[in-house]
Amino acid sequence: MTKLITISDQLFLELEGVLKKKGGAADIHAYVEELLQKALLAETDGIYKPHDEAEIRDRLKSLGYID
Amino acid sequence: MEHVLIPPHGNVLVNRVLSPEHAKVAKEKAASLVQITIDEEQIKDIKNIARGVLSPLTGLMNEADFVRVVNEMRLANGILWSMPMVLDVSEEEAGRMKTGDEVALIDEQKNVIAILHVGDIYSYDAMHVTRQVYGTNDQAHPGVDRWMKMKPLLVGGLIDLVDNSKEPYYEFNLDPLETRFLFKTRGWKTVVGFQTRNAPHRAHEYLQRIGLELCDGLFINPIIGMKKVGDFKDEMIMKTYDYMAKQVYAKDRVVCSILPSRMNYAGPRDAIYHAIIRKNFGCTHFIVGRDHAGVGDYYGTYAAQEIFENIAAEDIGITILKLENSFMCKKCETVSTSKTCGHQDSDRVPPSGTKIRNLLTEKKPVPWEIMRPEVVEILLSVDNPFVE
Ligand SMILES: [Zn+2]
Repeated sequence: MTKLITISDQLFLELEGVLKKKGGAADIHAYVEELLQKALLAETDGIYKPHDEAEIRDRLKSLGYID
Repeated sequence: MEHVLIPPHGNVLVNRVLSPEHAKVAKEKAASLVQITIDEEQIKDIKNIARGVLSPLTGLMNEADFVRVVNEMRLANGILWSMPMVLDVSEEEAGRMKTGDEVALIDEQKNVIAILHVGDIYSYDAMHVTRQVYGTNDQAHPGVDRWMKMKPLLVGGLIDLVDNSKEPYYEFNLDPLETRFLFKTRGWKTVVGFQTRNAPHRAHEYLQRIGLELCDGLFINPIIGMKKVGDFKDEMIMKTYDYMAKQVYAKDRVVCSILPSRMNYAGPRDAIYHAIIRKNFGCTHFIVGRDHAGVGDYYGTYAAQEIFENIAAEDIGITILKLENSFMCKKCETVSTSKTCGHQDSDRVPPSGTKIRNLLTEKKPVPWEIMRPEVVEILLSVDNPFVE
């Protein structure tokens, strides 16, 4: 499951900067995404409807928005 | 990576839709809670908050947010926000709840819509609100009329949505997460949002075409819900725009999805509100025409465009396309505006809502200069395309 989230450019650049400085993450995009997902999931503790990309894709497909 | 799209307003896409398991628990719990009945328009507000359409709002406004929005068009934390989002309650209803309580919000059929975590319970001065928000105290204005008839107290607090149903028109009802995913899937870097409550005529199409020339995609987002007598029926707006998206515009360049919402008719403040909503859906640009979201003669022709002049780009975050009214010019032989056509008024055929309505009501075709014949055909295929 991938949780779709949105962050500001500024926050992304800051996080990217921190990661670059520390080194290590091969794919910085994926790492930032994972980091933020963890934080968000911890915050909501599964109370709210999970943002499931596969489910979104299925719904958009079934409604004819994507092929 | 999602950050390539525009960030939502306040940088957080809100999600207050309970998971199916938690919704079930909340529904059962609701039977033992104080219950407040809310109307169809309030249900739309609550669902929009929970689905992130009104990000960064996570609930109904507490007093600090409410006061600052009314007076300064900002939330208490300083984020730009133009319309108060509130729930009005009677003295009797307020007497049954206190800050910290959970209250069930139910519809007229007793279905549980949401759980409200009661925050502030406070009074307000309706005359002050309407003067600030609508620029008038005239009760002939539908927004003013609503505030004048509201119950005497407001209650704020976080919302947890129990009923996430999307009827009617669930097939055209996308959440911000879904539109953002869709825009990304189509590879759009820039998306222009178009607000409407009408079936499309040539001038609407012209604005949309300008938007499409400037951006990768066009997001047509009609407001669906309670309308005035003589407005187009929701179904006709959907049908005609579905036709435009599938048969007229370039394939995969247009997305059409509804916005179930009350109509505020707040002119300039509504333009800001509409822009923020489209930003949350993932639009980078938003079209504001003349007389945007106005009613009667309460606002100047350009008021909804001028209000953005005093708002910093980083505060609104979405680019506003301020466009002129257009008309078909017989001498230009195309749709034009006062910026592009130098001919006389007598050469110009402006789209008149009244004229369109009168002709369609009499079952007569609207001239092709004003409305696409195929769109007219769709509108004439039903007994009455207008709200009765
Ligand atoms: Zn001309």
